[in-house]
Amino acid sequence: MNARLDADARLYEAVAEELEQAAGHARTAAQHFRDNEIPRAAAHAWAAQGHVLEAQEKLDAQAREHARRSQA
Amino acid sequence: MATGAYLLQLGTVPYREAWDLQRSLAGAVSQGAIPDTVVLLEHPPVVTLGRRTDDAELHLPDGAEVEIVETDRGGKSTFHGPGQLVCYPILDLKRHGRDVKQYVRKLEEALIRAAAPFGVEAERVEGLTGVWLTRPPRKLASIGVHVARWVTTHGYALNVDLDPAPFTKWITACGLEDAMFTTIAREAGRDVTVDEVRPHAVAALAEVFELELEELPADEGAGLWAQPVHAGLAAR
Repeated sequence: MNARLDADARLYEAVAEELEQAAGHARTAAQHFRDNEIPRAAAHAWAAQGHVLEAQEKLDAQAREHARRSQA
Repeated sequence: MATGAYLLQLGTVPYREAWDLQRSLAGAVSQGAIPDTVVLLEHPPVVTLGRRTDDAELHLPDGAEVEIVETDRGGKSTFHGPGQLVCYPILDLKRHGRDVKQYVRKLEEALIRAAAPFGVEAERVEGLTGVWLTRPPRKLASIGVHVARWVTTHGYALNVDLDPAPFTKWITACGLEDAMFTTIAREAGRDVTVDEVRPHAVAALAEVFELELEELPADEGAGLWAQPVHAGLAAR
C-alpha cells in the first residue's frame, strides 16, 4: 500500500474510533436518563457530541485535502 | 468579566468512568460544543498513579479492596475514596491565560478559599503542589492536572472526612516519605460532610476562575437545552 492510502486508512480508522466512542457515550447517556440521573446523563450526552464533532472535523479536513489534491 | 460555564455534580462515580467522561468532555469543550465545565464527584476507593509514580510508592497490604488505575495526569500516586471532594475542571486555558503553572496556583487558591469557612487555614508550601496545613506539615488536598490542546482534565482532591491511613499505609502518596495527611473534619474538630463543603468549593472556583457557573438540575424538567449558556452557543 502506498503512503497516501495508508494515511487515508488511518484517518478513517480514527474517525471510526471517535464515532464508536460517541455511540458508547450515547448509550450510557440513555441509560442514565432512564435511571433519572440527569447530570450524569447530560455529561455523557455532551461527551458523545464532542466525539461526533471530532469525527466531523477529521472528515472536513480530509474533504479539504481531497479538494486541494483535485485542484492541483 | 465572568464567563459562562457548566457545573456537573455527579455523586459517586467509579474512577475509570469519570476519567473516560472527562476526556470526552474535554473534546466537547475543545470543539466549542459546550462551555468550560466543572465536574464535582466522589470516587469509590481507588489508587491512581500519575506519570511520575515510582514502583516503590505502592505497598498495598494483601487483601486491600482497592482498584489501581494508571492515569495520564502529572504527579505521583494518590488515593481517592468516599469523604473526599474531587473536582475536575475542564477549562479551555485559551480563555484563562494559557499558563499551566498559573492554572495550578489558581486551583490551590480555590482550595484555600474552600477550606476557610471551616476555620481551616490552608496554605501553599514552597516547592510542593497541593494545599497544606503547617507546623507540622500535613497535606489537605492534592492536585494533578493534564492539559491537551489547552484544555484541562483531572484537577484536585480535597480531603473532607475520610480515614487518611491509605495515603501512607497503602501507598507513599505523592511520593512524599513521612508526609502526613489530614482532613477538614480533623482540622475543624467536628464532623464535616462533602455536602457541606461542596457549595464553598463551587463559590471559590467561580471567584478564582471568574466563572458564572450554571448547575444542571438533578431532577427532570429543565432538560438538556434550556440553559442560557447552551442557548447562547446554539445561537452562534
